[in-house]
Amino acid sequence: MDMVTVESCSKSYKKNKEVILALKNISYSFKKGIFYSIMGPSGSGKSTLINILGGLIEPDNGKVLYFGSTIRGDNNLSKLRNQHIGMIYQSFLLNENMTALENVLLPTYINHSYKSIDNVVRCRQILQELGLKKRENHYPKELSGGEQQRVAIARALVNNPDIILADEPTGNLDKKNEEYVFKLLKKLSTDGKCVIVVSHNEKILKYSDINLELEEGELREKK
Amino acid sequence: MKKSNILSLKNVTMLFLIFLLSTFLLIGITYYFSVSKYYQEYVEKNHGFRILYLLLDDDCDRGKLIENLENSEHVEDAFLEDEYSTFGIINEYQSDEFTGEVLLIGVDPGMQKIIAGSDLNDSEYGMICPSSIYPEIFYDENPYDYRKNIDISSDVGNTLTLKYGGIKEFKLKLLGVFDRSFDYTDPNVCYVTHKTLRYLNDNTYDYDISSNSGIYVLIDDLKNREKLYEYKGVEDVYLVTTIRSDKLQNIIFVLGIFTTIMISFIVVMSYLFTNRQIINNYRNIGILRIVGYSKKILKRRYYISNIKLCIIAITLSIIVANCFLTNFVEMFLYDNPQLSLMNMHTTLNTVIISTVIILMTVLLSTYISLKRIDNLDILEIIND
Repeated sequence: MDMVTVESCSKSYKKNKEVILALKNISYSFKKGIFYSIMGPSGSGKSTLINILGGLIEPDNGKVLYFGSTIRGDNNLSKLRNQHIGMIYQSFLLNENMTALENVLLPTYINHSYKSIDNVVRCRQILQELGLKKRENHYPKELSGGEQQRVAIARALVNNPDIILADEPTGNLDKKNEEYVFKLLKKLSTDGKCVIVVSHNEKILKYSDINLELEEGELREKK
Repeated sequence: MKKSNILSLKNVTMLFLIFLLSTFLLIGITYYFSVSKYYQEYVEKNHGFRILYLLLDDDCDRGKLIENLENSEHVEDAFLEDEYSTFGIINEYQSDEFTGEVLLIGVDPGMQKIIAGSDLNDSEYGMICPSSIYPEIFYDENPYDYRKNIDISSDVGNTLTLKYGGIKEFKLKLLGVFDRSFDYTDPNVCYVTHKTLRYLNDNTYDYDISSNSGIYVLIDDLKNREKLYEYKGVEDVYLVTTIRSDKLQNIIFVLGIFTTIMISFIVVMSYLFTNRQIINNYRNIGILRIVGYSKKILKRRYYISNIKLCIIAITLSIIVANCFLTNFVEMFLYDNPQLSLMNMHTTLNTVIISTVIILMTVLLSTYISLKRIDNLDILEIIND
């Protein structure tokens, strides 16, 4: 089943009056239960692709289909991102003023459902599964890099999304935590989620089902 | 579980600012409406605002013109310039106890409260006097010796004989008395009906109608002033009292400037406030976008937060403005008998108007500052 499909997508940026083509007419379908790794040199458009898949930026040309349909408008894309997509970044992107538990609950705040005891129980359960039970009331600055990334992963999983998008999730982690994160993402894909990970780290090849290479704006499957 | 700081725009400074400006706005609008209502309900009905001065050409037959004017359906009275000047301002006096056409002779009526009253037949001439009157108009004695004051309260309804202008004796019915006990040194001030004044004037003084003076006219309605040009000899017609338009224009001008400054200030401060909140929380807003908050939801939260601030500030300002107007402004108004009729209380209308102005300005500035969320560069936040 196609979870997310890009059709003839292009994206370019202007930098100092120079036009940089980040993605060139890319077409690809990402399927359920598969762990995709996307590798490529810096500036090859990997992050751009992840953000287009997450509906955070729009392609200049082409379209993105989610579960076979085109979704337009900020409200619909935001709702889709909240309910069906979990995003993980290298810099964790945690709210410094919130505890680990509150950060994990953040996606549920939209519908004021953070008051729901079920949500709190579920968040605690996710944190426990990720080994952060004793850290739930800690603020991000009180957590190590690995712990912060696990909180970010927990936040991405709180609404039980179908698609996990990760942009260099191990970029700020040590070897032990790298392994942990990759194993966790692998487990999520075996649980039926579509996991798409952008990384420079070649260790990801050990875990991914399909390896994609993005070079000079073009996406290719790597055998 | 506490909510994110990004979503709650609690800022005491901003709250105080909106409160302060809302209070000033509420007092300003209340003042404007009170003055307008005062002029509309009291002053405009006053004779003083229907008095016109007719500039006449030299050859005009003033005696005949006065006769013609007095026969006009629109002219209630006409005076030669000398006659008008002698008897001062013609004014209408009204109170809860006595409502009718009464003229003031000489001086301002002050705050005397009429404490008794009697009706007047068409054929009678009447007056209202201080309850305690010193006998100047009856006897030529020291008027400032309050022990010699005569209490005439019991004479209400009786006809008194008095000397007017020290010339002739007249018989006038005492329609009512007012309390003057707070100051015995005030000169005797009596209020007489309009008809009585004409009676007194006509039987007291002779005026030289052959002089070159103009004529003062009491017209029924200022809309009919143009009709006065139809009379032979009338060169021009002037409104004697222009205090209403002058004062109102000044008030509107001052309030206009004041309101403009206030609104500009609120717009700028609210814009800076919301802008600062967005800039300070730029990263956190980006995080919210990533976890699925739409721009609409984020903006709505800022709007709601600012509206909450406005509601708290406006509620406080209504209380403070009412206390100020009730306890402070009225204290000054009571020193001025004419202004004492002004009602300086906030009404539902003034509250609605000031609330709408404050909300509109705050929402406008919030709207402008929230444009920043539209232009939020998510990649910049992610890569930061």
